Amino acid sequence: MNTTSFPSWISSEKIEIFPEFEKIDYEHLKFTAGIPPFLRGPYATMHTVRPWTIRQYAGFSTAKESNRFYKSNLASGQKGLSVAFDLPTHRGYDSDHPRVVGEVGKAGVAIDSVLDMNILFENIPLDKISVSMTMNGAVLPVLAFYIVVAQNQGIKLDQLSGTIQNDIIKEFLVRNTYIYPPKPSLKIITDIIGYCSKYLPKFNSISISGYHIHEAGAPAQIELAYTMANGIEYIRAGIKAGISIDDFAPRISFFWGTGMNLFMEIAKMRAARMIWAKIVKSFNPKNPKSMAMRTHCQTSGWSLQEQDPYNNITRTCVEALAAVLGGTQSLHTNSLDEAIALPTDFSARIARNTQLYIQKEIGVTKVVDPLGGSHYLEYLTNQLIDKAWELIEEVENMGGMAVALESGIPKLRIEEASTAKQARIDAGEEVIVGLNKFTSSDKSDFQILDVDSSTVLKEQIARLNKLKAERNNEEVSSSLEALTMCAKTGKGNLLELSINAARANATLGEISFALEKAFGRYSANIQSVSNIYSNEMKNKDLLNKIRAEADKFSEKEGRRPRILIAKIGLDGHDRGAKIIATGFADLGFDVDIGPLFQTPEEVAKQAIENDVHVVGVSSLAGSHKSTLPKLIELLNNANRSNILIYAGGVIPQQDYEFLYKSGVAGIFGPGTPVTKSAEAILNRLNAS
Amino acid sequence: MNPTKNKFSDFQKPTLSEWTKEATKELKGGDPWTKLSHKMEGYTILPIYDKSNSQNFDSELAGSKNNLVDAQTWYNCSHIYVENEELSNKEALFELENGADGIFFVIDREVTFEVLLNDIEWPFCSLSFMVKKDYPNIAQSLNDFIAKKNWQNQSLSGAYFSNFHRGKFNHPSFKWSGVEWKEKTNPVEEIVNGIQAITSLQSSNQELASFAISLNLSQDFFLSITKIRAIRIVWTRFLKIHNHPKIVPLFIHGYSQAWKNAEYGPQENMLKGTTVALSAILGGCDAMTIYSEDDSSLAKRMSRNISNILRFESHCNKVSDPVAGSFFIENLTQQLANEAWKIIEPKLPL
Repeated sequence: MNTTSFPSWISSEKIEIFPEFEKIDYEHLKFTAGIPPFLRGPYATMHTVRPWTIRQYAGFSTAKESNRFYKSNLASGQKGLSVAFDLPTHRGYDSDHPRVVGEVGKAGVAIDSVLDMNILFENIPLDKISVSMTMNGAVLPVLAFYIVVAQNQGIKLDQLSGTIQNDIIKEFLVRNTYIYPPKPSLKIITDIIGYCSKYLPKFNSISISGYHIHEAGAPAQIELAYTMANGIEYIRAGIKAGISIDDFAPRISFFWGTGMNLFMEIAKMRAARMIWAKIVKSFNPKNPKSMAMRTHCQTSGWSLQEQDPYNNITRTCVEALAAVLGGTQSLHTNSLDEAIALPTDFSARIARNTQLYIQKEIGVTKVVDPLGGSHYLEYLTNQLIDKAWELIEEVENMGGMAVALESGIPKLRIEEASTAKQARIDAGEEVIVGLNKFTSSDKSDFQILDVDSSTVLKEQIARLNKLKAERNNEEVSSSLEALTMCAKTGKGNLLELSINAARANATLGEISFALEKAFGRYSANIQSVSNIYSNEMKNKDLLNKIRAEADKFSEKEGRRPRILIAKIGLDGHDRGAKIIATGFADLGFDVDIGPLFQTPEEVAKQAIENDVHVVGVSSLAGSHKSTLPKLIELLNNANRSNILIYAGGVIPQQDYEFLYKSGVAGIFGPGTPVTKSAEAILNRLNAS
Repeated sequence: MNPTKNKFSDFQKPTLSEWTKEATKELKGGDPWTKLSHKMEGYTILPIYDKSNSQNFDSELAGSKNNLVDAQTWYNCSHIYVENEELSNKEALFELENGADGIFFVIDREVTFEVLLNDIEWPFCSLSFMVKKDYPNIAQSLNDFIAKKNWQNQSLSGAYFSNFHRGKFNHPSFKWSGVEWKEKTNPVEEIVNGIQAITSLQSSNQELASFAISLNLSQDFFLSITKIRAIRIVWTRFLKIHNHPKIVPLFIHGYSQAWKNAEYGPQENMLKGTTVALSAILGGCDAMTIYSEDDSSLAKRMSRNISNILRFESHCNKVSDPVAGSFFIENLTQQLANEAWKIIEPKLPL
């Protein structure tokens, strides 16, 4: 009942938020913490006894640099490690593979072999420090290396604690760091779960991730639904592998993204626990603890802005608080320069202190689920349970997530949401401080981290050569053959055989290729939504103005302005590229969306073949200084220097000059409205 | 609104004693109600609150806050220490154009309001004045200024804080009787002292409508929220007992002093500003001032932006009293209000 004069507001979850809420006796209000369905937390005492683990995700180009960073974090109060690997490693390539030039060590640490892993964990007691590894595509060699390193340290495998992400389904949905097609990828997961449940009982063999779905633009009910639908698939995979639900479920952990909508994010985590308990219950566990959802959270990277970046400290702090009040078991807080680069010591310290401050200075750990009972919060919790459950049922009716993926529907739902949101921001309807309102012309004064990939590359190549020279190559070959055989026949455990290969000093690339021989390398089918951007964009004058410019070009040229949206390199994050593609199509361009993971050669070829006027390159992983000049060179050599090259994504201001000199026509940094980039390109096209 | 239709009917309803059993296991044999309760000065916090250990609260908060702009309204007031009226006026205009909703002027000299408030559209923002010394003319000047601008009957948000000469002026919305609220470690004592300070200044029932307080917000997140709500409840009871014709909200201005703590630095003041601002908003402050750690434009902008990030990106303005109903918060709110009222009521002259 609304006694105020204020209207309701509809959230991006399509939930109506009333200006006031009254008490409603929801069914779920009777539930508590530590007892199924765990509404208020997986443990009865939650943070009142044990606060969440501060676990900062990080990886620096070399294992040695990362090791130094981990040691200093552990010394300043962090209790767990989280490893970020570089893109070549994610996609199963050794650092010396020709396709990965310019990307070695850029987005995380380069791991080619056990030697690198040894350095990564040097003097870090793996039996005492919990290690979380974000790895999905090349999960077999990475996990194998970790196990071999632990054994080298003299540690028994049942002492190892930590997590490996190992959530391949979401890769096909949003993150795109898969290697093999879906079916064999599930087999890999099954083998890992089987091996870990037997030999690494304290190790979480899968971290089912909503974070990336959140970052791709999914509102809370979609993040919840698809993450848990993925979970159902994994449970089924585990049971198929002969593992009982009680042996498997306790070793699953979850990973949520935490965005800015405070109450929604807290409600999301409570709803998640309820839904998961219900899902696991349907598999008839004997141990009630099997129904408990334990989770890690990361504050949303997408919510952080390049413009006026110190505001990001506030954002990360609010999000961290939401994750804490939502009952997280561990947390990563982003650094303020997240939108642009890997963190420096300065920004990493602020990020870590954000958690220490919340943990120690403001008294929020004294009570379990402290906001529980709030009419507003319980309303949201109820709504999210309902809406997410509906979506899960939809997926299950299609035959489960692995099948639903093939239809493309889940991915399109997410893209619709992210496109609509961008339209609202571009129109100023959704305010982002420092970006479309309350802007400042002050320049940021802090340094950002620039990784020189070529130095890393040299070191990695040297170590690879040493490794290959000193190992027994026959042992390597036979272990790799055994791996390929297992992949072909399905007989044996892939992790066990990967460990053998790792011990023989096979490289990550060799192990991955041995599997590729049997599984093949997956190439996705690209679809796009349409009319979402134009419908949601309330500034119709601007819309029409841009469409008129596109029409002007069409009349002059005899065809529409044509743009190829390209992703060069190994980074598969395509939220931005897909929004540009659909937005530009609505604004009057003919749009070609290139496949992921292209080389400059492949992009140049497609650009020429499709006779485009413009190539828009999306770069998020730092390789722009090598890939863009290369692309321009190729086009020039083919006498197509009239094709304009624009770049967008995560490109630090300090690199702009270099790129312009190389011939890039324009750069659209994070936060550039779709309309602005479309206008700029059309103005340039119409001027020439 | 459809409650989750029987989706969880196959889960048993847990009792509080079942929770206790689980918690005891996790504590390896300790009793959670003793080991995990916190006995603070003036109040106690239990480890968990739910329907079974909370009373049913009839909200006494109804009508105790004016929300004129949004469902949950607060004014983001930048702090300006007035040394030169012209410069302070320029600064105020800059702040108001760049994300501030109001200004908190600190004055310890005679000022000319025509200059200080030149071009400021007071009906659209909130202006408060903390007058540090006993300048008898300031209140009169301000009142004259309001009259000159024909704002006597306009909705003007803000308050006049002074421990000295407070004048006998009236305005339908601007609070002429602003009192500096003194902080105490024991929040019950703090509320008692605060209300008593107000009552000792009050000379007529009419005047109750013109009171405001300026309080230093606690860094303890939930204490800050509940204290503000408890103050409102005590104020409502106070009005009722004086047979005041209606509930006139007490204008509450909360501020966060700049925080220096190298352990959490750099930028520790931004962390403090953020959590304290959030608690002020959730507790229901009418105006809020987050002090920056220095006078640089960056520091001031960051402190000023906190409110707008919470408003536009976290949607904190969309729901009135969003914590209402929370078992823990309502319980602690009632605790503080009741304990304070137990002391205040008997001492009231009736």
